[in-house]
Amino acid sequence: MIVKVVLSSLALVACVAAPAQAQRDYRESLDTTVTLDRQATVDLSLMSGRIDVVGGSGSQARVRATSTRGDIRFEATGGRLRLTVDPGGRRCRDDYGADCSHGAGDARFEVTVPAGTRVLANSISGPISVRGTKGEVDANSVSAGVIVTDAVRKVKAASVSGNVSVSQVAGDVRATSVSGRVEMADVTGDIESESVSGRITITGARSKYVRGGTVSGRISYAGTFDPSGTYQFKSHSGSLWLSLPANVGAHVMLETFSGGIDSDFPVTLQPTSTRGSTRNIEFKIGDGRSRIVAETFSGQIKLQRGDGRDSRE
Amino acid sequence: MTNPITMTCAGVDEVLLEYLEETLDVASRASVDQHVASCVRCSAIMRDIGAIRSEAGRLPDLAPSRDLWKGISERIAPTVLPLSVPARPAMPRRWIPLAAAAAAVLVIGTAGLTYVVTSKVLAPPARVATVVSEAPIPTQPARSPLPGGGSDDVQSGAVAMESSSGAPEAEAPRVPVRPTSRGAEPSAALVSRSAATSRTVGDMTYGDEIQRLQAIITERRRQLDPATVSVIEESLKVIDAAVKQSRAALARDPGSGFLVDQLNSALDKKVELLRTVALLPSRT
Repeated sequence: MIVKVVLSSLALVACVAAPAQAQRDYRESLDTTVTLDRQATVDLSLMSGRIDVVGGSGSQARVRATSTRGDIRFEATGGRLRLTVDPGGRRCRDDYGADCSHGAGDARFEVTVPAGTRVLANSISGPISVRGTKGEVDANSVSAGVIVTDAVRKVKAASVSGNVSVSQVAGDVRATSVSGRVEMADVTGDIESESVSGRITITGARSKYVRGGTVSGRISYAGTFDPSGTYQFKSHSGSLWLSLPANVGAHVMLETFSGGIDSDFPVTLQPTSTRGSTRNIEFKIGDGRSRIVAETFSGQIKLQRGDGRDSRE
Repeated sequence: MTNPITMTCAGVDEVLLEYLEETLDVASRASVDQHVASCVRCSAIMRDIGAIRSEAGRLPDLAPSRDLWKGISERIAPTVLPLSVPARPAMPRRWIPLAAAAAAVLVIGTAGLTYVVTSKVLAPPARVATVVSEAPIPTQPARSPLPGGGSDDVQSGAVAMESSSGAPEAEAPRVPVRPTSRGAEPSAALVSRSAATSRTVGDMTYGDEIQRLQAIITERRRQLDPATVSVIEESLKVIDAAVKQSRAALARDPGSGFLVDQLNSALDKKVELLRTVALLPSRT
């Protein structure tokens, strides 16, 4: 049975006079609890404000939401909960009937979901935080930060100018930003990360497949190297800093056009050659089973021994 | 007919199929466009649909935008590798043709996507000049080379070539074409490519798509947050600088597969960024 609540008619509506502009400000709020199926989907979106999602126990989701303008729309079935601010709904009107909304205003969503719930969250300028949900997460913001921690199976996190942080994921992660930093920690599945100028930092990874790409941002990787794993890092001018454990076994291929290559890791074979206009170094460490590829046009490639603490700032 | 002002998320849901199948009447379509441009939730749905369409656009008969055989044959030729060097594993380079095909697919798929999503936003498809300035930007400050690092002279040389390249490039980005060395066994894609034609499939896919996306972004510029626009413009400058530097290096070493990959990566990044921006929800 579908429970659909359109808050235009139910929520608290408070009109607060703004003396200077003779405007009315609308505020809505919602505080409700619904029962969700196992591995249901929670879909949240707003323009500005904040989205906070935390994982809880049991099968109930608690939803608390406020909005300064626009209708909060809330729909829930057993398998899906949707919460959004609809700018096409009721608008702020001044004493002369003119639209005084100036956008959708701020909204705040605080949602507690059962463990295993799949969370979709989208915002323009509102930060997004999804913690402890132990399910799939897909979180996107235009200018605000995105934080995801303690998720499983698949995580996608993206922002244009905000920072993206993903940690404690037992599953695959794709994290991207344009200019913001991308940080990933303690991921056990495949990792894909992209940015233009944002720095990419991967620590504590235990992945079989890692791919990182930037134009000018720096990429730092510290984690294990699985014998059957592939680890590819590519930049135009950004530095590539890879921290290799002492017991790593890897076939390493490094190539650059005008950048530098520096390895402080002892190798058993290190032929250096020039392929056309580029410099490449290819060598084997230990059993050489993992494959590590680092390519940069003009950045610096550094292989350092250890757990990557030196590369963190 | 739906009033554009009153279109809601639920309304979009109801007409979404018709919208996608382009069977919706003009007024309703305009209402949907207007709502999607201002709604985070609906724009996210459209973005997801776009991604699905992009995936679906991976046509099997597409070919790489350039011939890769020469570079591959150079790498596998036995005389290239000294005896002391272990045979180069095939795997790390095996993805190059796949990546090239994927790049072509990406831009073609993206073209379809942006056409579907934004065709109603734009005026009749006039030819639009490149919007984003390709003027040279200051290069990054010199960095101290790491111990055992590379040559800064080489880097400076590359920068100098960029600086001396003259007027900004107004034409579409060019993708290098590597000469065919397979002789009697050209690929099907290559058969259809005139050797005298400098404008390749890659040229058209990258160039046309970039120009189209830039036109869309110009139209949408006022709908986006100025700070976001600023970030995007700066990022495009970074990418354009990478494109120029890669292209200049490639001009000196046309046979370098590494440089071809670097150039294609930069162009892919530009298409990806523009596509992302074209699908961003409006701030109002």
